[in-house]
Amino acid sequence: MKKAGYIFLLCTTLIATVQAQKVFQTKAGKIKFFSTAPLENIAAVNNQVDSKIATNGQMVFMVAIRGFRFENATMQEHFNENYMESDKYPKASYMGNIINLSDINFLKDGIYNATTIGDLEIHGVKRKVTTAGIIEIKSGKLYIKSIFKIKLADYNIKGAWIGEKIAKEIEITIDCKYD
Amino acid sequence: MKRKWVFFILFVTIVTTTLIIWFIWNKPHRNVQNEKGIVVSAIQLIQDFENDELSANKKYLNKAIVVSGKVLETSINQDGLPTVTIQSASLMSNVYCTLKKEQPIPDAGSIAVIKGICTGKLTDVVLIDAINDTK
Repeated sequence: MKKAGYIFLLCTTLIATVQAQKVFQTKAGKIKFFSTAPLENIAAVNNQVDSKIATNGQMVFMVAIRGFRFENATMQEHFNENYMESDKYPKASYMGNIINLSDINFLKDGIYNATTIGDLEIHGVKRKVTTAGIIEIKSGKLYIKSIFKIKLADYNIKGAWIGEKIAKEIEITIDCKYD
Repeated sequence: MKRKWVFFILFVTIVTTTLIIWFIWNKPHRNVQNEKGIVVSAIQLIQDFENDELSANKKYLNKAIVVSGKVLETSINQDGLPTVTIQSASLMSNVYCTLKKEQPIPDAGSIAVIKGICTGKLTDVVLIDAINDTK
């Protein structure tokens, strides 16, 4: 009888573990960035964010730098050639963890505030960053939204738009819908 | 009389320079339709990236490529653009293409040819600004 009890306990633990490791993923997440500049504001969007979020709080984001689309083709070229050196550093990534996991119930519909700590790698430079965002659970789907700023100098990004320096900080918006 | 000519030449130079700068600044985005493109199967493309990503990047990154293979799935992304996943022989990655607006979407399970600009490999190899080139 005692043995049966152990087996039952083992089974429920296993089920709980399997449930705890649900992974939400997308290959079509959206990331935007925005910066003011003297000649024209700089804005670009990328619709191929490859991301996974696990219910244990782990998250990973990958993005191809060449996938950022600007309205202005010349600007897009400058961004890739002069600033990001996209052929040398074709990807940016973020690997982190949600630190307030106990505030989030992945099984219950709702909007939750999330704070994450992780490594952001852009232009070959990896830095520890803390970001805040919103996780929304709606009918079993997960959505995340986050806006944060980065300093170009932190990632060794240099360059100039036709003589004029661009803003030192750019605003990044993450907007991803997961399956 | 001489002064008139100097002004005229100066005027023409300024106008031409402005026009040239304007055209460079506002040049259109590249259109994959007008490019020849590297013809490759989805299986070969993924193999190339999995074998040696660095040299695959040299070969494919930012190039127009024409990928053929079996359509695994199709979808519409958050901005309403069609996406097509073409199956490779690898269990880990496929070819993920984001098509231009109003491109015909191939059926899942069919053999399709997609032409787009390669932006490198994440989980999948990614193609953007793509068109459905299935004949």
